[in-house]
Amino acid sequence: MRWPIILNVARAELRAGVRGFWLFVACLAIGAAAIAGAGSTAAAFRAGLAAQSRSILGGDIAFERTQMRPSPAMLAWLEARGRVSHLVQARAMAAGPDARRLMDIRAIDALYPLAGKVELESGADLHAALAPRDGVPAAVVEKAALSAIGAKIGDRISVATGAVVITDVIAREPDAIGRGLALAPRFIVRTDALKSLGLAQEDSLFDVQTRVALRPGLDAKPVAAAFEAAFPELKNIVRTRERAADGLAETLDRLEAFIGFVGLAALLAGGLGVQGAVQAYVESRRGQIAVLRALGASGAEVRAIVALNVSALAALGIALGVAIGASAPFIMVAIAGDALPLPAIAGLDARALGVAATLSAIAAFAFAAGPIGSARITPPAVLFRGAEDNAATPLPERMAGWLGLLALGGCAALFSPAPLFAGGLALGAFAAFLALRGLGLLAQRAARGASGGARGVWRLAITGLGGRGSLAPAATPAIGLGIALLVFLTQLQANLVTQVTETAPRQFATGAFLEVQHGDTDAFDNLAAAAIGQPLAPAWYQRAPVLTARLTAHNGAMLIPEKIPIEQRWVVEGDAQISFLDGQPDNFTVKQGAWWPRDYQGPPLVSLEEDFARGLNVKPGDTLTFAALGQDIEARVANLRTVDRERMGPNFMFVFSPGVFEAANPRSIVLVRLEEAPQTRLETDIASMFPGVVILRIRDALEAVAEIFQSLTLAIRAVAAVAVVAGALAVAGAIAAGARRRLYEAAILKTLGFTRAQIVAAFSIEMALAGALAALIGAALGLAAAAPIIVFVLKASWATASAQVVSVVGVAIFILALAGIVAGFSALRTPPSRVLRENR
Amino acid sequence: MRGNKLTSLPNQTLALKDVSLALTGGAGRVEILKSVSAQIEAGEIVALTGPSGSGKSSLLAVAAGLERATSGSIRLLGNELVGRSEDELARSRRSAVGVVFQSFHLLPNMTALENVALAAEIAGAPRPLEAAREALARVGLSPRAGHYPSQLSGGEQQRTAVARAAVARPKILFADEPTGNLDSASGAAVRDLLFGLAREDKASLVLVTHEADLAALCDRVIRMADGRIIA
Repeated sequence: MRWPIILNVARAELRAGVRGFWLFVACLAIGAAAIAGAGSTAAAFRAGLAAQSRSILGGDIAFERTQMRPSPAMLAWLEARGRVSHLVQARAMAAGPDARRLMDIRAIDALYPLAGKVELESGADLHAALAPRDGVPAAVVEKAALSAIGAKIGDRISVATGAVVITDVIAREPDAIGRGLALAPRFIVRTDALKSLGLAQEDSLFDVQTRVALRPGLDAKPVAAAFEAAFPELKNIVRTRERAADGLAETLDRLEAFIGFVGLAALLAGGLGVQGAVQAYVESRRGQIAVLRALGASGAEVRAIVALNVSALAALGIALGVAIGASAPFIMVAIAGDALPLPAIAGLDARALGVAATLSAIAAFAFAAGPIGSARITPPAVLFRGAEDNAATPLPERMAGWLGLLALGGCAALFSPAPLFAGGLALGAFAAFLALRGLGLLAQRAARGASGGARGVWRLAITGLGGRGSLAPAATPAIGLGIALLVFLTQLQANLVTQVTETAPRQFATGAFLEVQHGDTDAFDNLAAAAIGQPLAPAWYQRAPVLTARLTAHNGAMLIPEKIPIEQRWVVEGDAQISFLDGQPDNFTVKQGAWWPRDYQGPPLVSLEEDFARGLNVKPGDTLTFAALGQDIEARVANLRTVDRERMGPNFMFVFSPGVFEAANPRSIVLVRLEEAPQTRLETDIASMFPGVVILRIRDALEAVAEIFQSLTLAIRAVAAVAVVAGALAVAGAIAAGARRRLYEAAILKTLGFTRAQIVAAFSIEMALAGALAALIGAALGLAAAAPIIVFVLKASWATASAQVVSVVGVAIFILALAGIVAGFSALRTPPSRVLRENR
Repeated sequence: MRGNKLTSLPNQTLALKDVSLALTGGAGRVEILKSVSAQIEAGEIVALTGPSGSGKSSLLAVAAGLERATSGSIRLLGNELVGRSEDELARSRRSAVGVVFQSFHLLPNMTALENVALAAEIAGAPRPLEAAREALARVGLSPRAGHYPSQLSGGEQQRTAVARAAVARPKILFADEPTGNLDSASGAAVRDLLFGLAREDKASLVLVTHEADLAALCDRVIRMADGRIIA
């Protein structure tokens, strides 16, 4: 290898410009931009969360317990190390002039907030705003609370069993992030108001958050560890700033992995554009390459020259994409600013940009290796007899290309913040890509066999589809991959929306009543029967006791959260709602073991969901230990069950046999399935008779969830569009590469007597057929991937949103037919005599 | 005419014995050259003539090592070419062989000087730019050295190609229809250049041509038909 010669020739080639290479550059840039953008944006959010982690956590260390305040010993331990603040959180009904609605009540002490600041719309101080007015407790509320119940500032409204005066509107809460999907607006009151409101009483459901601002010089991590060691019942639930927004961090990881996957799909689809462009480049330079060979350049030197040129252009595309991706967080912060759902600090994240550049470079290598290899084996004899038989890819470069693809998948998973998730997605993308590629080649072969049966322009079109310059092998994977992704996402969304707007109200509970006191259950039952005017029946009315418990040990061994799959970890890290039932509910099906006999009074037994038990490796006969009611309760697993989610009924993670928790006089939850009017009637009666009961309008909640799913439409299409556009660019490249063939064909067809219209129609039909093939196969793949998720993972019934599939396929066919018309007219622009003279 | 007799004279530049070339394509196997034997002596100027498809360009290609013969023996400056890989053939061409094509085949993105210098560099010339300037001066193109092929006339492009072929002062020059794409004046100029350079450098010259006038100027004429030497 003589590098001065290689550099000399490569430089001269680049000096001539990158004409015709913009598609190559764009194909790489779009994938690089998606990956860099996803990584940079996630990094900006992570930086924002990290910077505000103390405010989000509310201090240096914090923990939350259900229905339990810290013991005096715990308080003494903590107060010796810093300032301690308590928050009580509960849900209650608030009644304004227009309506009664569920509110999320937060009761604060004088030290709140230990970090950050609550901003009120009037600019007043929080604690001043919460000072009682004429002996009535004050509340500051979210704006949504005012509109929900038709109240305004200064109104005195009833909350639970008491009353408050609304004094201000919350503009910003420092620790609002991490609250998740808030179905009820926030009310902030002082802790001393709880008693008059009848909230957070011994047997009601409430959470107590304890937050500590440590004395200067104390490090949170060792303090938290020492605290957990001193009070083992708090093991695993004490959080420090690093875990301030655990759930959010995980969501960010998955979101980044998913958008990274879309970028990977774009690189695969766009990779075909890269391959086509390099192939076309090598073909166009075949004569010059042969001259170099004739002058004595070795195959390796020729390969190095082509590779250098391709690398320079790839670097340009990657740099462009990475620059676009790097600017994404800056643009996001500049445009959305405070409207962003999470705090974000825009910056250049070297890792994110490096990952995007590396993956794009591997993709460029994988797809360009083959055509570059075909340059290497160009013999000088091409100068005498053309290059038709020399376009094959030599084995070493073909192998290098496949290894490159493997490396691309491996690195995509390895570099992802969620490697397993990303690895699964990458595997799916590769499987889809290879399937589409294979089907495209099969379609080309089928068209070759079928062309004899057609007539006229159809015969021309089908012959074109089956011929050497066929669009099918490139278009099917390039467009198909994007369409598969688009159909996959839109079908998931459509099914979820149908589930919550149509299926759920028909089959699930439409309302829930929480916090029904143990002593009120009979009266509650009677009132419900009277309000609806029919006897209680499980079909529309079900009541179950509710308590909370935390799983601590399995077969006597302490459970360590880090060793438990993420989906199951929450039962070890926090309290789960549990119940106890005598008979087996209709919506439960026992899969292993047996339900306990009626009126069972033996040692505690527990039933849990089969999938969940599998994650924890729990079998019938095992023992589970729970922390509940301030003591350890050991129960034997009696059975594993499935839950029919399409039937109304209790769905607690852990259901115990009777005789364990009755003495605690637990409160109950009541589920109803009613039409809108009787449900409203029942709610009104219950509200007046039982003001402490929390009414949850599941119907409204479902509508809110459906609205959120609907609002994702644009985001889903934008994400899928990245892969679709990359594929479209690749196909545009393939169409451009076939321009010479079409020019020659058009000239011959004209001399044979075909009209312009017939020639244009033939090209248009050929491309529309390629588009139809790609879109139909892509859509079928998308449907095949989405249906199992709805049926097996979400355990819901599947319904194909046919209109969306038809419109996606239709648009793809239309655009390619249009491209065929444009290509046809473009081929007819040059007079046939000139074309035939130049292509002797 | 010493077309079909192989001798091993020390002043022989090229010796072909029973050389065959068969290509396999869509139409099956086609025999292009059928057991061809010939010798070219040092400093000899030989014309290859024959009708289209007779195999004269193919014979030039295998003799220059641009195409791999199917069988037989080709000794170029004492080195056997048959059975060698493409890269070995490329190495053997670098300084020993110069080739001029009918369609010039200059690299379009390099100037005339760069085209010629590239050949000198590949041939291993210690100062390729100087060698290229000298070669261009020999073909009378010094004033056009900085021009790209697209800025040169057909005759100038072919003269540049001749300079490129001759820059390493090879022992043998091959020219495939060197005047075929040129008008008569330019063709005559190129012909004179090729003959002059070959004689000046004492190099052999093998040229494929249809033109009887040009063939008549050569020391010897090899006539071909149907892949064989007939005279």
